Amino acid sequence: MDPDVALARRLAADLDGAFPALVVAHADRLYTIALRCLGLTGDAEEVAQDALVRAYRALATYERDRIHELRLRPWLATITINLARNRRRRIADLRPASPLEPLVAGGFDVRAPDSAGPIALAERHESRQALVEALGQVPLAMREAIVLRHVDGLSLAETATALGRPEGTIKAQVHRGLRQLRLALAAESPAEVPAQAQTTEMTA
Amino acid sequence: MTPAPNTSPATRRRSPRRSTEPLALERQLAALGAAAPVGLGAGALARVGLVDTWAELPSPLGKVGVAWNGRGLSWVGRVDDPGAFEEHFRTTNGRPLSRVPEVPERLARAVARRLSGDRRARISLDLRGHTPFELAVWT
Repeated sequence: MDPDVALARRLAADLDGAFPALVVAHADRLYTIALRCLGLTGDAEEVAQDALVRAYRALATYERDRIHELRLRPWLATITINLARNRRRRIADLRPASPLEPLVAGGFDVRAPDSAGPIALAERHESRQALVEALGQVPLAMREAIVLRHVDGLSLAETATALGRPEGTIKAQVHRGLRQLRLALAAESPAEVPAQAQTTEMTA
Repeated sequence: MTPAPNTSPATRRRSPRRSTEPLALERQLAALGAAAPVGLGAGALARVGLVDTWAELPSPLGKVGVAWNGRGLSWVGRVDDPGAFEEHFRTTNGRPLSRVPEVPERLARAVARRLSGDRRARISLDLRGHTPFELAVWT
């Protein structure tokens, strides 16, 4: 049985008893969604925690049958995306990002093991950082679609449900967003990835 | 072997990469997952009242233990032995309890006022799990 289906059944039977399991199962992914949409670790942490609190309060008002049928992954993603949008509106013009935050958001970790060697490690961090920065430049609607579809791994249908958009729209937004990412990455290192920006296949 | 028409050597060298790069980008995106900061989940559980926090507080009655969660004050009792205090809380309330250095200032002030006999100090209470008789006595 799908773990989320089993978890929804447990939540329907005993919300307080099963909710800690929901937190364990989904905290990382909700934090990731918020982080990749907002780009700032502190805001992402608050948004992800608020999303979990809102989820609990909503579940506490739902009938047992409704919880039983809930598709937790897209439902929690919707809550997180909505809170991230609200947060983004509030912070948009109020404060610039710390120059260090993109490094942390990009996965830089001073405690990372260096078994791959310092040069390989640095290159890996560099390419990951370039991707995070390029993703941050993609327009929000496309970024949300890419984050849910390819970072979080929702299906096309789940992404459409989570964002409240038709599947065709999601497919087009993901396609255009990926093309923008490839162009941005190609501009970053033109000698290595010139061909990929030209691809026209739909990969949503 | 004759090269295909209209392809430069540079393009031919890149052609295998062209077919794999889109998937490579998707793999890189899938690897952008991040671990939630320590405390995010516990903080959420505390805010909804599924985990409690406690600290000691000096009072006119001596040292007391004060426990709280996102719903309100959940326990006040004497602390002769912190371990026994925690065990008693868990047994009585059925929730995990973690200790922190201090009671939040606002809550500490309100509890101190109540313990000094000032009934005007208003404190949100979380009294889940207690009997109707206990609730009638306390509220």
